[in-house]
Amino acid sequence: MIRFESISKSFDSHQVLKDISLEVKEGELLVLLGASGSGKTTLLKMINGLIQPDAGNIFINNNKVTKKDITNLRRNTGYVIQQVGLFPHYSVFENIALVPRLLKHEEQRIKETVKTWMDRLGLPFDVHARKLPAALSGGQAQRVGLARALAGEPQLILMDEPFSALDPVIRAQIRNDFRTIQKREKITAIMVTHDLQEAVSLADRICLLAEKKVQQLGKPSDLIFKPANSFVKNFIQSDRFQAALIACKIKDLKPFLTETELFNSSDNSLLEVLQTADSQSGKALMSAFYQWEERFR
Amino acid sequence: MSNLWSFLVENKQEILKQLLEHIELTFISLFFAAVFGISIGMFIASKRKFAQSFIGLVNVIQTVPSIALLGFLLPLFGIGIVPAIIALFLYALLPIVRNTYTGLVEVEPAVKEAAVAMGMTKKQILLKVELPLSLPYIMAGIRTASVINVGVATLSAFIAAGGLGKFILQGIQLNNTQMILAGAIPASLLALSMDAILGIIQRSSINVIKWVMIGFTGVLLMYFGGRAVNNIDFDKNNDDERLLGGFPSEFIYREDGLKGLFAHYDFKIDYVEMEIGLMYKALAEKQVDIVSGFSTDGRIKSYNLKVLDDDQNYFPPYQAAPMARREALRQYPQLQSALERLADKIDNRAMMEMNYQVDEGKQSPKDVAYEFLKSNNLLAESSNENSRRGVIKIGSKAFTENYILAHIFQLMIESHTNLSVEMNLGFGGTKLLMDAMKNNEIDLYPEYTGTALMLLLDTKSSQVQQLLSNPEEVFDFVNKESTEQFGFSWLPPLGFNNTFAMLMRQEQAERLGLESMSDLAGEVR
Repeated sequence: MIRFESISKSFDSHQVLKDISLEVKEGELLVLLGASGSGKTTLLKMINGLIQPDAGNIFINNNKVTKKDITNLRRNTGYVIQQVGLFPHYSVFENIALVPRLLKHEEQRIKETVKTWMDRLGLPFDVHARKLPAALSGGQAQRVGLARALAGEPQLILMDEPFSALDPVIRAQIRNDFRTIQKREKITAIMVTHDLQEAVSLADRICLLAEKKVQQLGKPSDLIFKPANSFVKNFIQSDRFQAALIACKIKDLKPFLTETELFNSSDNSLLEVLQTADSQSGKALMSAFYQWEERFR
Repeated sequence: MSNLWSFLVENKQEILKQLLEHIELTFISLFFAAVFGISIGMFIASKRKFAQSFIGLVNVIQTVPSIALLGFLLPLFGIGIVPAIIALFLYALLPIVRNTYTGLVEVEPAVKEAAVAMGMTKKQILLKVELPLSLPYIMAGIRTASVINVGVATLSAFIAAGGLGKFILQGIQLNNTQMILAGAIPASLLALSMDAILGIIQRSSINVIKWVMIGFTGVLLMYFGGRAVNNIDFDKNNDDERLLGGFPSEFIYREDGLKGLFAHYDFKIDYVEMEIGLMYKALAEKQVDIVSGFSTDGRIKSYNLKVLDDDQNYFPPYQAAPMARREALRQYPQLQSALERLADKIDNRAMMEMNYQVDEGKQSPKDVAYEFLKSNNLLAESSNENSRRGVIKIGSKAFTENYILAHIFQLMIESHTNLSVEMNLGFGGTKLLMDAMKNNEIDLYPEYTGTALMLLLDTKSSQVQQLLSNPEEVFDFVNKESTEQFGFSWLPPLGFNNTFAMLMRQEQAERLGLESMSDLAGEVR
């Protein structure tokens, strides 16, 4: 759906991206992973024209991104950032209604859309719609941020560290809520993060950026078990075990397990299931995990 | 307090009128300052490079003293409400520009980024995000500007623009506390209430602010429309030959000032109240046609003005003469003969010329005095430098003409006697000089018969009226009274008469064929 072709970018003679080419498939969630300064946010902002590349082109559905119809492109692209950036003088309703209004939808339809998204994101309409952003908690604000990005019914959503400022429990909840919606609506999503566990738990594919280059592009398990080079290996190192437990889904372990009740939650990661498992099934799961891991050797 | 209350009650209509004028000045200037200030603030916020230099420039305007700013505006815009509004506009600009800029710059970057990324156009971002979010700052700026403007608008009275400054100005010049308070208290109340009202608006929601702004704009537009329909012109109509006077408040309100002049010559002209310093300039710039001044003022020459002859002797004579302690004259008889040589030697033209050389030509009073005496052969061929005996101490008041005269006295004494001279110049007022004379701190100083008549001797006004017409009688009277009361003697007058005078532009006076006050009265009657 999105194709980067030989993208280069420098800031004040300091080069951050060099000759990057990359393709994002329709409906997938691609994570741009990297340390700060690796150019992942720069790459993301090039898609909706917040930053212009020095060289190279970006294509969306085979159409080149140009200045001419960038406004239209932006209205049809969701955008979520860590600081949320809700308009402090707009109510929750008005914030979410922003893009549909820019798209000149009918007011009745807008109201329904806003209500739908607020409900889906766990924000009761009657309680929150009239509030100003200042009255929301951090988690609620980011839920509104997500609703705002989704209310225009975009085919593409761009996210820059959307969950990094939230506390862990809320973070996991919102993350899962978003992933569910993204899969169901078949929205193509590109998310920037520096957090390996988050990347592994959410991504269909991960693109690890470092030293101006794409170091590895692949499924989470590929990065963990088959690092393409020593750089990727070092990046994974400190979090490798946890990341592996997250990357491993219960359904992956089916060939190595006999107990069936665990398969009810087959889409869950091994780490999640281990949190609540008793010691016996824990042992069984771990031994299955090591057998599964063997396959990658 | 009760005096003040009765003054307020008696003058409530005038106070109301001045208050309305004051509000008019403040609101109109504030409106334009808001429109331009917010635009400029928006411009420099979008072009950050210019911001510092531009705010610096507006800052500089703010530091110009208000009376000086009015002076700068006079040649460009004349007198009246227009230059006053322009001055107030300039003062109100800084807080509004700076606050608008700050407000726009302070909008959270994440909010701006989100606005762009949502697909809002530049115009939408400005109108729906940036301006609404900086509105509290902008309102605070307007609030500051309004308080500044209510204060500065009191100075508009200097250039005949009206407002509560009229009472304050008159009160200061007439030493009338009630009058000052009658202007100052409503001005303070106006400032406080505007601050309070704008404070309430500032704290209210953006929608309320929006409607207040729209409402205010609407009211002002209706007001301008009303003015246009009624055809009340901002400017004085200078096309016809109706003469307009410009006088300082003291002259207007003194019994022996303008009122007496009108009665004496039986005429009347329209006039505006003005600050003395701006009066000459306003006359030269044709904003007014007649001003009151002093007949030997150097500016008469520099602005090429005509002094109308007071042919019916309305103004008391102000003949200049040395006034000396009798003891000093008795001790050094040569002092008297030296100064008597000056009798009738300095006419009005000569004195005006000397004032001009000091005020406009930037020469020292001493040089001017020397040149005058030299060219009139009043100095001795040779002086006996060696054997100085005795010291004469000369005083003067603190203005140009007095400095020049003191130096003339000094040069004459040093040239014609063997006395040496000590100079003790620049006294703040007649009272101080008199005390210094009584205490033997000075021996003589240049004084005017009119001043002596009015102030020194506390003469009954009926007596003044009788004496007025004849300069010699006035001189004899003050000489006699000074001698009897204080032991001060007047030496023969120097020849010029520095009295009040009606001044016009030379060119206009010639065109209308006006020489004297009677001619003027005949012209306008």
